[in-house]
Amino acid sequence: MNSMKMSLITLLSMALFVFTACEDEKAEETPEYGSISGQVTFNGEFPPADSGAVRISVNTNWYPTGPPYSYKEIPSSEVINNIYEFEFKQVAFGTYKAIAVDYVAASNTTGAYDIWGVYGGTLQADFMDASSVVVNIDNPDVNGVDIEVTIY
Amino acid sequence: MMIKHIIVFILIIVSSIQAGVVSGTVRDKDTQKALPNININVLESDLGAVSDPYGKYSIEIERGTYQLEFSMIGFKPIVENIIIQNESVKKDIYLESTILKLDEVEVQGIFSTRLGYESVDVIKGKYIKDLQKNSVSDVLRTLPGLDVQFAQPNGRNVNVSIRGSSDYKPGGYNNRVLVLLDGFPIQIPNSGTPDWSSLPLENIARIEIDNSPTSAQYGHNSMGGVINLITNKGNSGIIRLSGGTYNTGQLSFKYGKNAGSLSIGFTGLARQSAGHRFNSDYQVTRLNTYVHFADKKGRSYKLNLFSAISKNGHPGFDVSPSYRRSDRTSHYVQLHMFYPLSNGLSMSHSMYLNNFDTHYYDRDDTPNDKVDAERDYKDMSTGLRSEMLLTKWARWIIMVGSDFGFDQSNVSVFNPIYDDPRQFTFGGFIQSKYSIGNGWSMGSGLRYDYRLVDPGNKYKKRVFERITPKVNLMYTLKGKRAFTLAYSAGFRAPSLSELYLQHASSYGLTMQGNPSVRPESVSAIELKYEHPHSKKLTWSGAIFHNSYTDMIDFVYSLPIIAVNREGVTGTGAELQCIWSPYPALIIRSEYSFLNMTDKGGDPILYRSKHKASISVAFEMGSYTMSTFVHGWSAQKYENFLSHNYETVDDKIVFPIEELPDQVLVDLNVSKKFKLFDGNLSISNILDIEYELIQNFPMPGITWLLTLSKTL
Repeated sequence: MNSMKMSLITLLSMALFVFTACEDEKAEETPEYGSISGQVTFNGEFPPADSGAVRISVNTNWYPTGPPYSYKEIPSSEVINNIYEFEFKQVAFGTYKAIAVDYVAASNTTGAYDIWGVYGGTLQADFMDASSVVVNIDNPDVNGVDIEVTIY
Repeated sequence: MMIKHIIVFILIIVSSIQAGVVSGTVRDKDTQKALPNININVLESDLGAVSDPYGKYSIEIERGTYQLEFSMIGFKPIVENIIIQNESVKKDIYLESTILKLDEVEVQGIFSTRLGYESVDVIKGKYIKDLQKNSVSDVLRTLPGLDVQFAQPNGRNVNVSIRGSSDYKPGGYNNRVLVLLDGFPIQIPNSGTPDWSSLPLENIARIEIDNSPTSAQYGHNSMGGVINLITNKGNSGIIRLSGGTYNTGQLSFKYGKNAGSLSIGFTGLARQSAGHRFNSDYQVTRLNTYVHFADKKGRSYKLNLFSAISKNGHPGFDVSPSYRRSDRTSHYVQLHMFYPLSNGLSMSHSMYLNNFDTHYYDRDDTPNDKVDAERDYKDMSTGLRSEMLLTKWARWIIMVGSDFGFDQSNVSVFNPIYDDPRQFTFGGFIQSKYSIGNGWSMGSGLRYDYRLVDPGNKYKKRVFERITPKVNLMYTLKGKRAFTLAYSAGFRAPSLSELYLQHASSYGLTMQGNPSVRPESVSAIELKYEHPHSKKLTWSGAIFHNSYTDMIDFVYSLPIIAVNREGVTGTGAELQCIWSPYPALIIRSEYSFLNMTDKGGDPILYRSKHKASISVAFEMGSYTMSTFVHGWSAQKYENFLSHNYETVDDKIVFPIEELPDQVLVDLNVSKKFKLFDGNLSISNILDIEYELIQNFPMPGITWLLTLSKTL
């Protein structure tokens, strides 16, 4: 029976060790992801839904090579007084080279798109002067990323 | 009317002359108490019986000489010779209680003490040998009920799905099937998948496949079922030398010796191939050593050591070949100790330590625009499990136990803010099987799981806990299990990758874990019929329904992020038949049907509705020939390489396309020579072009010639 006692003690010790070792920390939560938010102001008439899609994207490379890190389609119903407010949630910490608004026509089957506006960038510089956005633990929620778009 | 009565009377008289009755009482040898529910089989026929609540039995049988087998869990089975000459024969039986020497209670390793019903299919070593496949994943791919995706038979990324439990995603991050080696877990902690290159196909004695969720016994990672690979530890010695297409070469050896209470053995393999595509070459070296010791008091101690080194090219999609390569070393140390405490009470302890090092790098001829960073994956896991088994009661066996595990991943594709994420797992469980009587028995189990995931630094620790039950009802016919109705639940905490991954793939998509993702679960119900076996024909059929809650999946948004899906169900049926009209001929056929649905409307990918196979093996003199034909219906996939996609809300909707249905044929011929055995295996003999994953073309016709020498 000594062996049995030892076995029971082993089982109970394991359980006790785990429950005490794994007690959850009550520490304040540190953000693990950030967000990017702002507003897009459209100058010109917003295109009807059936003509194509207006999109806003978060890009790790600029000019873009490959798909963006994240993006949203901008529905006309959410553009109020020519202003669209956006927020990207669960954005991984890092440096994003450009926040861009583009348009892809429905008639275009190649996936090609026109860039209409970029945060901090100008049409004169072909948007190469885009401003980077840094999301990190010290500044997880980046606000005020406002973009002026001219529809032509 | 009178004539009818006379005929019936004559028939009764005649039959009573020709038949006799064997009857008696079955008792416990130690206590002399009567034993109910003892299975009694007449080995020469399909006749059988079960002892009544007072231990009495009676079987009517024709004149002759017979062997009667008396068996029950917890007692040593005995076979008695009975001669029926006329009238009745009385035979009282005394069974000796025993500990753990029965098929239904089997101790192999940390997670394999099986108790009561699980829907286990056993794939025997001979069948595996006849298939002559290149890897364990290649063997599993041939089995109906299982879906397997890989880029090549010896590739790194393999997704295994039982009864539709998961689909393919790059990296295989949602693997729900627990793969065990000799009963021990071998999962790489970061992804939950094993190192497929390390699995010793050259020395597999059998594969046990548990088709239902088994979290009530195995805990995390088994919600999609369990695959247990049992290695051969018998008295044997063999050397094999192989060569074949794509400059494939292989040398393997195996030696095992049972010397009284001590068993030792070792196996090894070296294999290399240039591969069927650019950058699909591989090399693998495996070594396995074991020492087992058992004393006369029933105590046993086992030590298994496995090591594997593999070097793989990653061929990539056919539209954009990859220049990536990886080297991996894997080591498994497995310890198991079993000892009886008293009559009907025993204890076992198991411990394992697994270590994985993987290095990803580019080929020397990589073009500048394809150069990627070198990456290292370092994973380790260790665990301890103790079980106490009570078999002292005739009707009831009980197992209680607990296990503890620790895993750590230092992986450069995790979000760099985390510092070597680690997880602690604890489980406590109770399992039982109770014989109700008249052939009925009931199994049940309950397990509590607790997992704490610590991403390091100051980030939030996460706790996942769940209680999972199982219950089943079985009915025995002619001494063998026939009908089973089973309910079981499954549970899986998210893997470290599903929580903390952050990796931009070579084709531009970012895959991102989600620390907020919830654990997933499944409820499953199954009805199975196994026809009471004769030696020539065995068949079984099962129907099942699985309902998933919070299924974790990487969905195609930008980034590709882990989320919980709702309303996924799977319903299906399986049929299996093995017919051996002559000892030299074995015909095995299987069919499975699977219907998966998603109420959320997301596509169900990489699951065939229909799978079927038939194999015919026959021996003729010194020759053995076998053919294997297997086919599957079309599988849908989301073509994430397409530029022609739509955007809906913040999701990308890639075009849904189909991999067509396929039928493949393999052929094997073996001949025994005086000094050695020869085998020629030809795979995909019709040279069919096919893919298991989009844009990963599989090999066409290939052959392998093997010479083996038994020592």
